[in-house]
Amino acid sequence: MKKQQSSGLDFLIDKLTNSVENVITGDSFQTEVSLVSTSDLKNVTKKNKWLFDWKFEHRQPEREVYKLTILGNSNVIQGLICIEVKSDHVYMHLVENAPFNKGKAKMYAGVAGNLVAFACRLSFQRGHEGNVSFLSKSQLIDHYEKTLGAIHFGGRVMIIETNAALKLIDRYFKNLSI
Amino acid sequence: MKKQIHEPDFIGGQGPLTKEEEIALSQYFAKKKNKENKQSNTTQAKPKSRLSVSV
Repeated sequence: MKKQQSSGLDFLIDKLTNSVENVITGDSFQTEVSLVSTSDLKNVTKKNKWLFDWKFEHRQPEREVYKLTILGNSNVIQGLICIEVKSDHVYMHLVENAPFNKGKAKMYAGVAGNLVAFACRLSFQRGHEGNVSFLSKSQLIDHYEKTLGAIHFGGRVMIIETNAALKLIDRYFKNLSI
Repeated sequence: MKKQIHEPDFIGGQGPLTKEEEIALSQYFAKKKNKENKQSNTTQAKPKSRLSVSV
């Protein structure tokens, strides 16, 4: 297995502010992305309608798990992302909206997009030109192409390259520079 | 009225990249970087040649 390059570990981003939008009212709320702790994941369980085992992701030493929360309400997780900084890009293991932000009845829009844009921004900051990869089920490839500007690399691999990454960052982090 | 949403609720969950996928991606990103480096070198070389002509 590849080792991470030491240059990728020169700095650590643990907080960013941005916003999500209430689907019904259209009100925007400032958000932040920060590293999760074990206590944050106490209620992140399949019983509480989360799809994936986030405690497992958090235990993996090479992976970083971040939460997106509304500013001033850091106890309520709006979504989670698990990433791994590779030697030449950022690999997204997993992104999941909180159960109340899924489907047609979701409370806030922009959570998953925010988290993907965060991964793209991290990729730029670690010197990887915004390049991000992730795996997709074949039936979702089209969806990710349309919603994220991702490219089908082949097989189940999808990539977000520099231009698409810049668009996502521009869409979700309007007030922040790369 | 509810806003029309076009974004995924989750991404991934397919496990880690296989060795083959890792290698294919590394080769692709290396190729891309080389191409960009070559292009920037070519762009940088132009003013030098102009300078030598004028001298």
